[in-house]
Amino acid sequence: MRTYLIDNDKNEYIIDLTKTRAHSAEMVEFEFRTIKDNQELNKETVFIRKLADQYFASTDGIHWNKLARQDSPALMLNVDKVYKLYHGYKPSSAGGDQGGGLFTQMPGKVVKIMANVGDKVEKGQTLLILEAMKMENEIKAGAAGTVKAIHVKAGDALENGILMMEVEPA
Amino acid sequence: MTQTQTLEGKRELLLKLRHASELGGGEAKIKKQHEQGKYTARERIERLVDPGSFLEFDRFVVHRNPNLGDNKYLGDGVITGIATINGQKVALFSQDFTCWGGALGAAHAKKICKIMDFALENRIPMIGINDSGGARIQEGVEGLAGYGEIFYRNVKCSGVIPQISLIMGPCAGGAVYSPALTDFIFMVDKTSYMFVTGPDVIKTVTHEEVTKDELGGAVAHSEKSGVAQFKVASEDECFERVRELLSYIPSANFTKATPKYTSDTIYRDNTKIKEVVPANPKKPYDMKEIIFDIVDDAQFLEVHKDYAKNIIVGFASVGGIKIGIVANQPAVLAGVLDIASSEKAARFVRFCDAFDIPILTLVDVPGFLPGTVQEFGGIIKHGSKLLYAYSEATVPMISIITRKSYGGAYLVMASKHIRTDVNLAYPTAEIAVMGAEGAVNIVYRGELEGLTGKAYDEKKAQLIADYEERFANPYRAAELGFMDAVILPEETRKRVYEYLIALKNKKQEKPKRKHGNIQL
Amino acid sequence: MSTQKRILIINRGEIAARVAKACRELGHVAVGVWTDNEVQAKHLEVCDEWVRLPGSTNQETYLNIPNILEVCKKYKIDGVHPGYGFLSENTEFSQALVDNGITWIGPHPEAVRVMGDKAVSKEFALKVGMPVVPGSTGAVPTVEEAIKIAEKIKYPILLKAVAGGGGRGMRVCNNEAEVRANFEVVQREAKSAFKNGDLLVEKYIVNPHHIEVQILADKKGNVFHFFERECSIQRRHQKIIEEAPSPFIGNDEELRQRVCNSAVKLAKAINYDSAGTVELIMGEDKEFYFLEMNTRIQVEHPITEEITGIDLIVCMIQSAFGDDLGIPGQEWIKRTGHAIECRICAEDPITMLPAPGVVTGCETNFPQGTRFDNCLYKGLVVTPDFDPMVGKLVVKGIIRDVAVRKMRAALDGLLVEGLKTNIPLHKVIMNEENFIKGHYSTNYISTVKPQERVDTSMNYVDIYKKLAGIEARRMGL
Repeated sequence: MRTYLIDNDKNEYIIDLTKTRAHSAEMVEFEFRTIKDNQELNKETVFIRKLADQYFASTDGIHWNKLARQDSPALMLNVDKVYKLYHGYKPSSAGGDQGGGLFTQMPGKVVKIMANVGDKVEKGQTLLILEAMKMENEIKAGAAGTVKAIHVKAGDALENGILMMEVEPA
Repeated sequence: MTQTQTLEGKRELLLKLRHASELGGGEAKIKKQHEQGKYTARERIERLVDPGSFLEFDRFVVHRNPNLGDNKYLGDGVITGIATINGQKVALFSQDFTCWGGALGAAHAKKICKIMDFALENRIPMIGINDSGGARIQEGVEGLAGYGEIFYRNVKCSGVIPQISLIMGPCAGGAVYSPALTDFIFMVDKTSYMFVTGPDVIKTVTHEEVTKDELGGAVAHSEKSGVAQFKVASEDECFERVRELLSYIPSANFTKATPKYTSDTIYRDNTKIKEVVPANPKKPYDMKEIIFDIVDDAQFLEVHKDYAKNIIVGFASVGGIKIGIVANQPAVLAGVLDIASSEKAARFVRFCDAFDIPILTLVDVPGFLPGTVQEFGGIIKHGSKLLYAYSEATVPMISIITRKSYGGAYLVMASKHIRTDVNLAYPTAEIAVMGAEGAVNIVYRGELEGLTGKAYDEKKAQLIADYEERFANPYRAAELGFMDAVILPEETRKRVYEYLIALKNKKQEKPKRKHGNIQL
Repeated sequence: MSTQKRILIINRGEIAARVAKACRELGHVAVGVWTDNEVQAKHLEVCDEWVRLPGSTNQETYLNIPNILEVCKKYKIDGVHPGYGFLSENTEFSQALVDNGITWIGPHPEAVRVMGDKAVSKEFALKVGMPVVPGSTGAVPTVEEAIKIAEKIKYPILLKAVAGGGGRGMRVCNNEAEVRANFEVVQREAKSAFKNGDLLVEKYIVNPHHIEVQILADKKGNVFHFFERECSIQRRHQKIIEEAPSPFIGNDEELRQRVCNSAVKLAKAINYDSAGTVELIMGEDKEFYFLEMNTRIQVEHPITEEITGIDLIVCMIQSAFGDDLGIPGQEWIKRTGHAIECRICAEDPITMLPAPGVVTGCETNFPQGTRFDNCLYKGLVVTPDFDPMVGKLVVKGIIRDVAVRKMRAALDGLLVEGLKTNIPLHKVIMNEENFIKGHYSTNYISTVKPQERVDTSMNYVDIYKKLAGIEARRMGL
């Protein structure tokens, strides 16, 4: 089970709980590792023992220290950095990152091409206008980059799924 | 005294058997599974559920088929049991590819049936992790019978407990029908595939050359056939998505929904949403921007993301109340309804209705997609499915028309007439039989005949403007009470929350019958 | 011994709890207040009666004199303890209480008036024979005047607002040009912050030590001192660590006597009759000068209580109601050992800026004898409305080294989750060699810069332990 720690600068640490072993009614062993940018940064075993209604943690099963009781915090702190905590899963939300090629989503006619090969474009910048289904569809760049190639010209009538333009991500 | 006659010995024996069953098909097979980028059946369960919560059933069940002789695996290639996910109890099975390729036999199927019966009787969701080569040939028709029993139970549970299938390996032949009968299918890209007949048979019969992945991989089923609702890049991501999905759906039907914790306030600044719907009706926009603004923490779990992108369906929460959202997407195909989108939305609406999940519909639909492909494909049948689903549903339903809503599509998309509880419209809404262009051509054919060039353009423009003023607005419908209110976009979130609270105890009666006859 | 009195504690947080405990010890009724922006006020735990002050800003609540007088009348209040901050040094308030026949648990208003104005208090100190920082006698009207005085007392000098405090409205000037540049700036700052643009000129002491003497007096004319404290570890002129007695004075008993006795002399001269602190500035040459007098109980009073064993708040209340303090004489007050206090604040340990947030868990695992005056609890919301200090950690040792050792252990055993605190900064200071040797002055933070030594690397094991604890609880361990 994974817990995500994400700070305001979008640094993302994945705390992966890989194994759980209950040794007795009072003690459980957990194996954790930390992954950042697909690299495993750290791996450690932690023991938790309950004693007199308090929880104690240890890394070797010999030296114990007390834990402050917390229930599902939404934030976790490391000295001076505050991280948003997502327990169990990272919510899938705003996405829509299409880099690379711009395909027609429906049959239509190219009205106007708004960029040239070699132009540096920003995310969300309109690259061409396609008239389809009686709508003027502004086809926008999914991510910042440079226009690598343009395969169509104004006036072209296109079918569904045609590669109109290619953008090299920055 | 022999080993097992002492107390010590008896305990030792249990631990030994437990350890043996954990190895499944052996170290070598486990290694091969890992090399392919797949976890073992036990690892999958461990990573999916809350730590330490899995309780296994039937660990020591073995097959009783004489054809397989004494070659037995403890557990017979499948691990079944109950666990908790997000604190909610679930039942699950996980097929073990290391034991004869996860092939299904009588004992294997019996284990799955047992856990499904348990889930049904105790009203907890059923999760199946499929990783199997199919039926065991050596077991003959007993294997097939096993599948039959499973399919029957899938249907028996349908609409009573949520059923989720994770395809994490092969799932071929008749075996695909079990996931097909479940509510949600997750497929892992590159390591899973589903098809009824494989590439080899296809080659001999129709002489088509196609690879397993092309034919039935995650991409094929999430984008082309729409069989899979979720495509994930890795098994770990799959577990996370399942957890996320379970956070939105209840444990069973007729169960009171628990609120979803959020720190997002109801009355927050919604100025972004004001600009989303453009004044120019020809300009498309991304409906998702409206959705993200309405829901809590901009968290929206989109279902069937890559299929029929002209309609958006998914789960979210507003003020902690879990809802399902159906919305036309004007940025794709201008948001028209077609065969694929009608089916996608209809199934989703019926799932929400079965599990008492309120539905929010965002409408911007110019009509149905024209063309022979659609007509010969049966848009009449498939379009009616969505109409049926909305009409049949008795959950709280709120509908907001953001821009266009023309003709039959107006009626289909949760209109007042099919008993939607609250119908709202933005000031940019246009509710009419058809758009200005087409209407003017038909209604004013007489006036436009004989005119050419500039005179024609001017007259037409004037007639269009006239039409737009009379019909392309929400007020005509509001006058007739078909719209309950015309609202400003920034009021949406607050209103949706208030309506949901008011609709909490909605009760609607339906005439008694065995079941309706929805177009299939 | 007085009969039971009803005492209103017009403050919040740890000091309200502290005062309430003292009230209850004496058998009085502790009446605590809460406001609309702090409904879960933990200090009410130790109060007998709870009164709501409607409002969400300090102006509406803790500083609303007319409303507080109404409350006193309505709830038949016999005495009011202001704590520190808020109205503790407001003569309008104390006078109003006295006029209404309510006991003010603090010094008589005239003492507050005299000591509240920096220029006036300085004049008074001079009259009494107390050494003061060389400089202007009273407000300086023009920049030319300022330069003339500066040349007489020699640079560096300090341009200081007469009504200032907390380190605001001051500028160091090293030469004439800087005086010319800063004069109007400080005037303007003072006018906007304290509504009084008057400035005075003072000699700027290099490597100064902030020494203060605790005074306690009763209404019978007895004035005692409780030895001194050193509060030189400050950031933005706000104290973060205090010690008693002063490590700089050390074993120089003769100096100590001189310092404390001059403070008593000053207090006697204005007929002081409550708890207060005389603040002095001492240079490396051991020359000390009067800075100001705080006519209220201070945040750091616990360390004085630790080394003398006497409850100052209880005495303060007894004194206010005209009771006998039970102290036979100055010689009876003895000190043992050494005490240190670390102020635990909700702030970033490196930038030292306030960091509001919510406490998601707190736990203590202290060495024997640790004192932690706090208002912490799981769920506490620290808002920018109030002071970021959430607690005071106080330890005592028989010698200074033992106290430092105990403080290290106490800091290790204080767990506050969900909130940024300055605990990591305190830990660095407790292990920093200058502090350990006791060699520091008020420029410690700006020169030694302990905040830059705080280890900010990702503590994975700590995170694992916290997550493991949460999982174990979910599992039902």
